[in-house]
Amino acid sequence: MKNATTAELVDGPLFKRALLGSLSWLTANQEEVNRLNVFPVPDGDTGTNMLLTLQSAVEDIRESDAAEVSKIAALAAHGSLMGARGNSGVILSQIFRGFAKHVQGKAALTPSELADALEEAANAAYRAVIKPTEGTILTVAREAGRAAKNAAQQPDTNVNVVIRADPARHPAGGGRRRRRRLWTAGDPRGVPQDGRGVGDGRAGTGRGRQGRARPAQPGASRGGLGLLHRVPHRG
Amino acid sequence: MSTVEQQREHPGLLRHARDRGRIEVFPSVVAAVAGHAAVSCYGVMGMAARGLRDGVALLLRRDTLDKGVDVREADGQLVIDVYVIVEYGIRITAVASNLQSTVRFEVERLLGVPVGEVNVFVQGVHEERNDG
Repeated sequence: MKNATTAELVDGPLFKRALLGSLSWLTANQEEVNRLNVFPVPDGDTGTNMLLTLQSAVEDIRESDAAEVSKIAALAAHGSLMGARGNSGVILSQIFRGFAKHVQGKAALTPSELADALEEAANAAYRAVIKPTEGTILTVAREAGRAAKNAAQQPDTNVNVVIRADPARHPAGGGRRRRRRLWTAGDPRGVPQDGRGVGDGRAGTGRGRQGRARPAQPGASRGGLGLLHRVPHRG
Repeated sequence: MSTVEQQREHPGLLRHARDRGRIEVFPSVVAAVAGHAAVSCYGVMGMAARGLRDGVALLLRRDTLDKGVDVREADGQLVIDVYVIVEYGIRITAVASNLQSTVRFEVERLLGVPVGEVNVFVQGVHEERNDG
């Protein structure tokens, strides 16, 4: 088995483990995500919707032993499309779709290809809405893409570094204040939008991509897409 | 046109008797609220004019969003029809169901009037151009 910490490329099996890891993480944390759901309708089902969408996304992947990352990504895109539930689920499916389109025909991704794919996934998600609301999964996807891109440009980088790229440390960032502004957009009380929840879902993806395909431990993450654990909990 | 004449022209408009006078909200206002809620929904690329023109859905501009919404009253509750164009490649039933709950929530939140039904009519699909 490929050692995740020294992985040079993201191939099919690694991406598969990543997605399964995300699913484990979200399964363990769906209630917390539900509690954060205030936009557009505060009905507290974001975590559940996202979990159902992700479950559908990985359904066919479990049986697949495809070596190419493109095949796993295509299965995820199709599965999430079919099982999309709620706004966050629909957006998640569009993110998978953008990712899958970008990696079409590729057997494995280099760090910079992975970063490009993450960025393109976010762009695709933004293209399917007229009035994007910041502080939702869209913001998380975009910032994660930017951070990954930035990390990929550093010398001696590897896939793991790209995955763990922290949007909060993005040069264009501005640290916690900017993060809070983004994360709480649209809500006058400053309550994190469901974007945080969605962010946690992506955090799971990030962690999974590092190859930890086991039930994730909340709070065990350092940096990476798991940054949202450190956002002040004000809901 | 006087207010009284307008009222005669809009038999379906909402009326609320209040101790200190009346508050009336015209259906076009409900339609505007519903229209804005609709275009904030993920996957909705625009409102469409009711009915097809030469078999083609007409995308409405931002200032005429309410033209893509029909509002009527039934048994003291609002029935809202929304005509939209959605992005190609997303599960349309999921978008439509999100649309229903968002429109209902926003109209009830802003106007305080119970919404009985939100009917979604998908008039067309839009495909992004710079698709890689």
